[in-house]
Amino acid sequence: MTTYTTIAEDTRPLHHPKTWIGKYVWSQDHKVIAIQYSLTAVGVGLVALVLSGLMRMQLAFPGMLEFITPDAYYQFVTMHGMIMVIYLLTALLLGGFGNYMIPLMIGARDMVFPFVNMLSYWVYLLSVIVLMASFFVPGGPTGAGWTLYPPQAITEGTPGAGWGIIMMLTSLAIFIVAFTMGGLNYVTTVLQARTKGMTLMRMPCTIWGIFVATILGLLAFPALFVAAIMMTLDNTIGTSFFMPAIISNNVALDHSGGSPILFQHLFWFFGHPEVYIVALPAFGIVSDLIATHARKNIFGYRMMVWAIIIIGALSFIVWAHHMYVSGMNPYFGFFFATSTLIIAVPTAIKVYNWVLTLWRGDIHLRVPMLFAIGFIFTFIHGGLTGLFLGNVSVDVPLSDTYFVIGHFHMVMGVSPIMVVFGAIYHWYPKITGRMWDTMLGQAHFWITFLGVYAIYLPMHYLGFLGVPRRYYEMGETAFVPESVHLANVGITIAALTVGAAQLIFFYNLIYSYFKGRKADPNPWGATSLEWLTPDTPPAHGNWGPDLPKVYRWAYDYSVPGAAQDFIPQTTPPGPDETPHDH
Amino acid sequence: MKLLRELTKKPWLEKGFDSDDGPGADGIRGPAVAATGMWFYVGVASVMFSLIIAAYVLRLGNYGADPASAAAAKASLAWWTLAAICGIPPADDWAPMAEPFLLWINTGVLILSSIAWQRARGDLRSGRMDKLRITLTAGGLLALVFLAGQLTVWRTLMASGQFAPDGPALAFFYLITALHGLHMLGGLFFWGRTTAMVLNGAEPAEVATGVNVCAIYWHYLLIVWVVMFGLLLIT
Ligand code: HEM
Ligand SMILES: [Cu+2]
Repeated sequence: MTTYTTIAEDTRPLHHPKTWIGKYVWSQDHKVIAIQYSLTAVGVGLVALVLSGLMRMQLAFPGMLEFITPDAYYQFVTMHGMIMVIYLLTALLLGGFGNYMIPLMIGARDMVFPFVNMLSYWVYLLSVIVLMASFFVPGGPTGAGWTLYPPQAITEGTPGAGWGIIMMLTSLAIFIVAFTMGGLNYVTTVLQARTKGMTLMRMPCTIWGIFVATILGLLAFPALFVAAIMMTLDNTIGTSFFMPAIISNNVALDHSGGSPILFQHLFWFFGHPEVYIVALPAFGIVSDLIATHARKNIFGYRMMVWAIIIIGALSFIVWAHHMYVSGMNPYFGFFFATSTLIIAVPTAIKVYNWVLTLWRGDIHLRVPMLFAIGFIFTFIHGGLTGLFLGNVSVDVPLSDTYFVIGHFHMVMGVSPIMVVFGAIYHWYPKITGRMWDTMLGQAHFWITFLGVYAIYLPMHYLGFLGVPRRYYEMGETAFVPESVHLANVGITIAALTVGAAQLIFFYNLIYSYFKGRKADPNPWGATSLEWLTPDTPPAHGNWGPDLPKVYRWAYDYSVPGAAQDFIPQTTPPGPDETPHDH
Repeated sequence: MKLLRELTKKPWLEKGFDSDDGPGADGIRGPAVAATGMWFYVGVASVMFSLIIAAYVLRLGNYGADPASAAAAKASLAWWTLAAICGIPPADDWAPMAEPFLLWINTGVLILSSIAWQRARGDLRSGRMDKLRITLTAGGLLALVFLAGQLTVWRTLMASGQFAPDGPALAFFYLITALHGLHMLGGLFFWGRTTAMVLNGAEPAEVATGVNVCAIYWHYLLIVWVVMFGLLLIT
């Protein structure tokens, strides 16, 4: 290190790779790491998608696919849920979008700890490999459900109670190490590497969402980490952190005094914030998509930022709403029901503000905007059913039914995925320098959007009828009418259609990458910094010799009197604008 | 508060910029970056250790709740409030562990290590690199002695047949010391880098970040250990 006054002006800390391997494999460039994260996440996400298709086959046509035994079904449920939540969504939104967007949107050359950032990806890849390896160990992957509740997760009779659960817990611990390395980078970069003029309140909502979500992740994942370690110890060396005295197959196990409820508290202390770890980046991104494609400033920017912060803080005091049926003290339930319903207030503010941004906007229904509007629908839908489940007395009969499956798929499955699709269409021209095909994009949107309603809306009805989740088959059950079977067939057809429709998306991305029209550097007329890079796609170091200087917020759209309907953040104040003087 | 002032700004009205708008105003500052990263990590580790404390207290079960003894009942008040609301049935298998005396010595060594780090900061500030070499080396070596001492405690416990599955107190003891030791090892990695630079004749400015950030991290690990050791002692 030598003495220099400003690192920001200094390109030396950047590690300039010479070889192909240095550039694309052992890369320390945040953009390459982002792509690595995203491709890995999507790859493993496809496994989870296939598993969901297999589960749907079993539910609609019980016994048709002979390899789906009851054990296999549980394993599919578990792996599907865990992969979707952690290895796909968390990794994609923070490791993928976080990595790509943070330095570009705040005007930095890279993350502040590029080496740690690279390490973060490789450790993440290791966690994915360990997870996938669990399909091949004796006994197969764990079938304990993604919540991994002990004692059943580690007692005989649950699929994968031997090797599978160890692989899962190991993989989770590795993932958390990877996330922590990445997360420290994201927050430090946001706090310390913003370019001149980029105050906190001039950051685009995308960065706010990713920033707060990362803090949530940093504070929530340790709970899963200690829970994973303690359960591993219970399982391997026979401690009794979570294992009570228990008789399994007529044999008293060598455990006593542990508390399964303790595990549930630890799990959900992580698990609920996890919902917002995937939701907050989506909130942020969708705000920017809506503002850009409606050519309006985001309604109530400051309120939006505050809402993100407040939601993030509240998300740490609602975890036990997942445990209403665990036999806890009724006052405890009352407290958690109240805090849960309070979160609805800032959340509703955000929804109103999105709608108000659209109100009388100059709406361009391009594909990213379609997905953004689709998100508003699915999120309102999932949010409303969340209000049902937040109330103890309503939750008790609905708990562990398909109503819950419908709810959380809408709110944390489909909604963030809608935003992910919208975001990919939105930034693809910048990332690849090419345009995608509009027709294919629209087809992808409509099939997916209508399809997810066809999948999840009937599930709410099944839940009211009392159809339980995580059941291999219903068998002869008096309370289940014939219509349930019909609904299951319909849902499966819709699910397979939606799954297949994703091929359109991948085809579009891959084809356009090679054959697409060359993209304009700023095709949507957006204001934020990532669109103003000298190169498209941005080169290593992002900004050429000088960092951009920021003179305004990211939402100067349709400003009266301005020459264009957007003013980039790097445009100095015009003669009619009062500069900010002190 | 600066943060609050930031967050109440009206960005839609404010065009142009002040010289102090955003840290980027004068570029990334090396020390600030490393320190920010370290403080966030301290946050992560604190959540982890706090949750272990919570788990520990909940797992105590009925221990000490002898209705005949008012003092004991008071001591278990923390447990009662936590456990009662969390719905965790009281276990009654808690057997306190006898803390080996060596733990006191280890604690002393760790305190010395922190003192050495603090003196290293002083040496750095006054630019006395010859002294810094000694204090830095001492800080790291003492930490290594601490770790060796902890391992010795493990070995004596195991030699006397006290393994982790033999009781919740022992299980927590092994868990806590292992996690704390791993954090120390992580710190020693950065100590190694900084010390190597100092021994190779680096300028004070070059190692300032390393020394200051490591020193604070060491103090943090000392606090964690004292809290954890105290918890072990009173139960
Ligand atoms: C086309 C897309 C999807 C389909 C068809 C689908 C279908 C299913 C099915 C059939 C189940 C098992 C229900 C049961 O037997 O209890 C399930 C569970 C689950 N899914 Fe999905 N899913 C999809 C996407 C997602 C996404 C994007 C997420 C991300 C949050 C997700 C998260 C979960 C979780 C957490 C579970 C619970 C696993 C458990 O009970 O342990 N799914 N899904
Ligand atoms: Cu929740």
